[in-house]
Amino acid sequence: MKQGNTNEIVEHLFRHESGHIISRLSARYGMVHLSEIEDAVSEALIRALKTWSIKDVPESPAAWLYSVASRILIDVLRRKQLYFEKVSPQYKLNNQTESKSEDEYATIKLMLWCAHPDLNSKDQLGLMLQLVSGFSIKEISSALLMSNESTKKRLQRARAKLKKLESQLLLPNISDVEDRFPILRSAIYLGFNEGYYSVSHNNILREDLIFESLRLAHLLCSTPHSDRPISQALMGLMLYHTSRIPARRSMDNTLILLEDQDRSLWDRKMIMIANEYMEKAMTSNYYTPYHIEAIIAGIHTQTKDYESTNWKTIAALYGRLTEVQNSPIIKLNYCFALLKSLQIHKAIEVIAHITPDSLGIHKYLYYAVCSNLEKERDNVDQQKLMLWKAVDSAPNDATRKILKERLLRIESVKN
Amino acid sequence: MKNFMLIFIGEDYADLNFSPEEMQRRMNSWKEWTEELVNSGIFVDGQGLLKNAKTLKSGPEDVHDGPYLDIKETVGGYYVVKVEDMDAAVEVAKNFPDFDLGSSVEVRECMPDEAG
Repeated sequence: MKQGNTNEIVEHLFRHESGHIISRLSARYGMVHLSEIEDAVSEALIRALKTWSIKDVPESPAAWLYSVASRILIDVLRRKQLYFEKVSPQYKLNNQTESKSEDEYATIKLMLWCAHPDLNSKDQLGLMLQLVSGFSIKEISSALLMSNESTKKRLQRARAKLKKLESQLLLPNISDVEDRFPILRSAIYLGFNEGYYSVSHNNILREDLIFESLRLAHLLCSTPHSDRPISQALMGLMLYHTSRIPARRSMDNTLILLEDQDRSLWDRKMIMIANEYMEKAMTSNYYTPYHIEAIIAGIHTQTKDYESTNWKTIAALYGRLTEVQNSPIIKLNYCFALLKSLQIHKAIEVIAHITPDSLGIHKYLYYAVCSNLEKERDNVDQQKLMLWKAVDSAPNDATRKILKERLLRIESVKN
Repeated sequence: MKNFMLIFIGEDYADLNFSPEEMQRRMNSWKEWTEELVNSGIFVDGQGLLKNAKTLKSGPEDVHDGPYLDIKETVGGYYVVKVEDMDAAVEVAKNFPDFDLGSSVEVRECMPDEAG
């Protein structure tokens, strides 16, 4: 036994390798054995835990985990006699023909398997987090704000459905399911948003979800089939948002709004990486919603303080976005940017087309924007009333606190 | 100095449904504890045990599956440490990383090889 920390394990190794190994084994032995594969991977991790805490960590921990997991799996399949009777005729046990490239894309294939068009987006994301990202049911339910039980049931149902829908035993060929890449991108973006805008108090989990989404999007960008401007724009968009994380929360963990953020805390290095992705993304002649959202996020990161924000350009970009996406939250952002660039009439026109209830838990934002609108019209009473409504519909204490502070500010200006 | 065996007893990891991340965190605390024992020269030997087990009850024919017949807890592994006395061994066991899982440590003095 060696002394000291000569063999530290890479952070998140277990999480990432579990998804990777599940992908490789399911590409090799077929999705029919998914639950056996998951058990084998989990057993391999337990063996690693018990061995590596006493003895040296092997030179290549990832290879160790893969070979142990596949040995356990083969044992189980043999014991169950499943292998030789049903699977073996189709797929050889010592399948030496498995090419490197096939294996390289196993994770993407598993992601595409999860992104089945007949599943709803939360189930696609949930399955992906479970299989590709190695999140536990507990973590998924907390990330997606669902109860443990319902997450478990949903995922079981989704898997049963996929088993029925996917007649083939193996993971899909990428070229056969290329039409699923858009679904995959939106599942990744959904995961990112759940992490970024979540009201959950679990900071670690929230950040895990954000960085996991970045990892998956990065994977998309490094696979020839999906290394397209649209994927790069998604990556750029998420990176711009992520760069602001260090400035988004105060010491006592309350959310800090864009206008109050200390911009020197924004992660410059990450912004540069995002810029590089955007350079590639902009080679396309066609700008997708991801492009436009990324450009907006990029403008904020390139502006030295809130006051110098170019709201006119941002409003124009949101305007374009509303043409292609009928989302109430985008309309609301559009309205906000219009107000900021003093296009009041246009703003009134836009907000008239939003029903507050369509915003769900973001309903408070509607009232906050209404309050801004009243401010521009010098209607202090209405401005306060709307802010009170926003306070009433705030989804959590942190938001309520911010809104109340704003109310106090109005009061103090008046007196 | 005497040898003591620390026997780790608790629910099997496989039944606790850890996520890979939780598993890695747990491994890190075990590594930390073990490294400390190794670096201070206390650690003599140790091993983790696999889940599969058989118990022979009352004769060569009476073979049962599993470590015990009716309780969930199993021996997950053991360490042998060389320390001054039982009190010192108990001190070592106090840093056992799995107390939060409801697991326990049994500390047993090993019989010396020769008299004296």
